[in-house]
Amino acid sequence: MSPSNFRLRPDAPAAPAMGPVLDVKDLRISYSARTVVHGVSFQAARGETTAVIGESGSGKSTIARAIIGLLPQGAHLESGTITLAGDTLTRRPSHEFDGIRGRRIGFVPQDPSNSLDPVATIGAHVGEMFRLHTTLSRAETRERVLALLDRVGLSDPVLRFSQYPHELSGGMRQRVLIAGAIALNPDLIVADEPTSALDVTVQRQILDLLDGLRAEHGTSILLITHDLAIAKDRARDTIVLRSGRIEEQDDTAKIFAAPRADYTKRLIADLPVFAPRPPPADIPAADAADAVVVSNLRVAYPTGRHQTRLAVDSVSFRVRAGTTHAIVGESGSGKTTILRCLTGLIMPDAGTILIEGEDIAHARGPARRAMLRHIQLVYQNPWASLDPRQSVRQIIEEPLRNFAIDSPAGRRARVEAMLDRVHLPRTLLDRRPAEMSGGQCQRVALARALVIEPRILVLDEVVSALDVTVQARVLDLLAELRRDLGLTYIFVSHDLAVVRQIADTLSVIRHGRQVERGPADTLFDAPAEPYTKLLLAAIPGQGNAAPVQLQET
Amino acid sequence: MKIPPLSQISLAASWLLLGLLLAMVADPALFTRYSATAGAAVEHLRAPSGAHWFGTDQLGRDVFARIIYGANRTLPAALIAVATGLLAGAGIGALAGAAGGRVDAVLTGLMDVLMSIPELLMSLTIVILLGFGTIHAAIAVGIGQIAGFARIVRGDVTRISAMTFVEAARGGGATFAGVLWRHVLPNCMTSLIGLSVLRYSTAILSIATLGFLGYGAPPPAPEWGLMISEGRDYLATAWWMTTFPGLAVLLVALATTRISRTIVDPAGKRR
Repeated sequence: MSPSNFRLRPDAPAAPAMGPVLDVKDLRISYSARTVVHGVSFQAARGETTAVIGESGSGKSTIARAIIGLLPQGAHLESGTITLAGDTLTRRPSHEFDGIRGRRIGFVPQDPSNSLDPVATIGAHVGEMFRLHTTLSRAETRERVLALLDRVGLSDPVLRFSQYPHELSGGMRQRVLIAGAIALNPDLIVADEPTSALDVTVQRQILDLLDGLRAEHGTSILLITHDLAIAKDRARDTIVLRSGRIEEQDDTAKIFAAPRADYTKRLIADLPVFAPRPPPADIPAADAADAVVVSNLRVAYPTGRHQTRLAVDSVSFRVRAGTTHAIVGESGSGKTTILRCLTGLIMPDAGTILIEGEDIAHARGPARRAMLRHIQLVYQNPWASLDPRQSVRQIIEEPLRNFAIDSPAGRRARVEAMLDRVHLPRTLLDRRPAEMSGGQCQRVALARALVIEPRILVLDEVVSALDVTVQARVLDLLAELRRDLGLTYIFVSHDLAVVRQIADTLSVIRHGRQVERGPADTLFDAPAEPYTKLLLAAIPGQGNAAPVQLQET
Repeated sequence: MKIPPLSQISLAASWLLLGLLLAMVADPALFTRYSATAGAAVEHLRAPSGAHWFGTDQLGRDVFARIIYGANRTLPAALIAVATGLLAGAGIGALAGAAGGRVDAVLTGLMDVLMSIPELLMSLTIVILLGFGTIHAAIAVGIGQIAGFARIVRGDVTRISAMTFVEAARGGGATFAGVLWRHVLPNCMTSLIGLSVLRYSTAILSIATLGFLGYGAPPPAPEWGLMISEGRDYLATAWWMTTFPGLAVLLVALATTRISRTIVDPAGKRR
C-alpha cells in the first residue's frame, strides 16, 4: 500500500470484494506430539462479526495466533490453509508476514495492561503502525494518531498522545490497542478475549466501540471469546469450539434459538444470564437470627505520611442466617476490603461487624480464633489458594489439625466424607493442585473451608475463574451445601448474572460507598439507582439495547 | 544412535564424579594401595607413571593416594561449612522475613554488613580466632556463608508469605509458626537446596584456600589446599604435585555447580 492511497478506507480492496474475508480450511495444529486443533474449517464474512467461542483448552487462542502468524514456540502447523481475502497466509516466511500483520490484520489482545510497553507513550504505540508500514512523516503520523485516538473515544487525544500506559485505566488502554489495530484499516480485526480483563460496564463500551468501527468502515471482526452472551449480542455468525474441534457453526441467532450439538445446548443452559432465577428454597422465617450484621464500616488505607484513602465508607448490611448476601461492585470498589474485614484479616477504622451477635473487633486471643473459625473464606483463584506442595488430603485435613479435632483416623474419615460432600472422587486424595482442573481445585478449597464446620462462608469471586459449565456445577454445589448444611453465604462478585442465580439480598458498592442495598428481587426488577441500572444493562446476553454512548472509561 | 546434548553429558559426568568421590570418602583403600602419609624416600618426586598415576611428592608419597584420602577430609569439611551457613542463615532469614518490621530491618542490615566483608577475609579472621584445623576452617567458611543464605531465605519467605494459600491457611486456623513450618519453608526448599549445592562448591574452594594459606589441617595431612601449597615450591620441577590436586578441586566445584543448576532450574529455561 503506497502512502498516497492511504486512507481510513482504501478505494478498492486488492482482493475480490465478495466472498469471505477469512477462509480457514482443515487447520490442524499440534504441540510436540499433542494435537490441539483437529482439522478446523470456517469462514468469516466480510463486514460482519464472527465469534469463536469455547472454554479453556478448546484451542480458540491457538487458532487466533495461527491467523496472525504468531504461533507460540513448539506449536506446529500440521496441515490446512488460512486465506485472507484471497491471499494465502499459511506457510509464509516470517518477514512476509510482518507486512500483513498490522496492515491487513489488526490484533486486539486480551489483557490491555500487559500488552502495552510501559516505557513507550500512547502516541508511540499507535504511531508505530504508521512507522512500520507507511512512509508518512512524523507530523502526518501524529495527525493520524490523534484522529485515531479521538475515533476510539479517548478524551483529550493531545494529552493522551504523550501519556504512558500506567496513567490510563484498563478500558482506556484497550481503546489504545484498538486504535493500533484499526490504524491501517485492516481487512480483519482478530480480537482475542478483548474484554475479559475489564469491568462489565467497560466491557460493554469496548464492544460497542468495535461494533461501531465495523459498521462505519466495514471491517470484519473475528471475536474470540469464552462468553456466549457476548457472542449472542455481537456476532452474526458463531463457531462453537470444543477440544480443538468445531461442534457447531451457524448464524448466531439460529444457534441460540435451536442449538443442534449437545455441547452447545449444555453451554447455553449453563449460562447464568439465560438460566431462570431459582425460586428461593425455603427461605428461613423472617425472625431468623442475623448471622452477620455490618454497620457503618469504614476502612482507610494510608497512602502517604499523613494521607489516607478511604477504601470503604459507611457500608452497612445484615445477613439473616441461612441466606445469601451478595456484594456487587467493579474492580476497585472496595468489595475485597469488606470481606477481608469480615474474616478478620484487617481491622476496620470505624463501624462494627457482628458475627452471630458478637463483635469481632473486641474479641482477642482464643475467643477470636474460635469466632473466626465459624466464618471461612474461599478465594477466587483456586490454584493460588492451595499450597502447591500439599496433597488434597493434607489440604483438607490441615484445618482439623489446627483445631486439634478428632484422632488421626477420625480426621481421615472426615476428609473422605468432605470429599464426597463436594462430589469429588476419593482417587483425588493424593493429587496435588497442579494435577487437577480449576473446578476440582475450587471444590477442594470449598472442602477445606467446610471441614471445620463453619456457619458462614465468604465467597470471593469463587466462580469467576471457571469455565461456564464448571461454573454452573459449582453454583449448583453451593446451593446444595447451603441447603444441607444450613450455611450463610456472603458472595462477592462483579458478575450480576451469577449473583442473580444465588443471592437473596445484595449490596451494590461503588468507589467504597454503598450505592444500593435490598432484596435481590427488588434490585433486579426495579433498581432505584442509576448505577445499578447501568450494571444491569451491561450484563451481556440479554439482547442488546441501543449502544451506550461512546464515552471514556 | 542419537548423541545426547552436551548439557546431559555434563550432568551425567557430574553425578558420576560425585558418586566416585562419595565412594572414596567411604573407603579410600578401595582405590589405592598406597598410604597417604607414609612415603618411600627413594621414590621422591617421580613423574606420573604406571606405578604412580599422578606421580610422587618430595617425600615419596603417592599423589593419587593423597588426593583420594584428601577427599575424605575436604568433602565432609565442606559439608560442615554449608550446614553451618544453611542452618544459621535459614534461621535468620526466616525470622526476618516472617517477623517483618523492625526485626527484619535490623537483621537485614546486619546481613548487609556481613556481606560487605569479603567472605575469605571473614573466614580468615574467624579461623584465627577459633584456632587452626580442618573443622575450624569449615566452620569459619560456613559463618562466611550465613549472609548469602539469609538473604535468599528472607526473600523467599517474604514472597511466599504474601501468597493466597498462606492467607487461606491462616483463615483455616493455622498459627503463625504452623504456617511458617508447613507452608512457607517447604515452598522455599527448591531454591534453598539449589543454593546449598552451589555453595558446596565454593566451600570446597574456600577450604582449599584456607589449607593453602596454612590455616587448615597441619601437615602431613592430605588436604587438597595444603597439597597445592606444598607443591608450590616444586612447580618448576614437579608440576604434577600442584596440577592434580588443583584439578580435583576444580572438577568437584564444576560438578556441584552443574548439579545445582538442574535443581534450581530443572527445565533449563534460564540458560
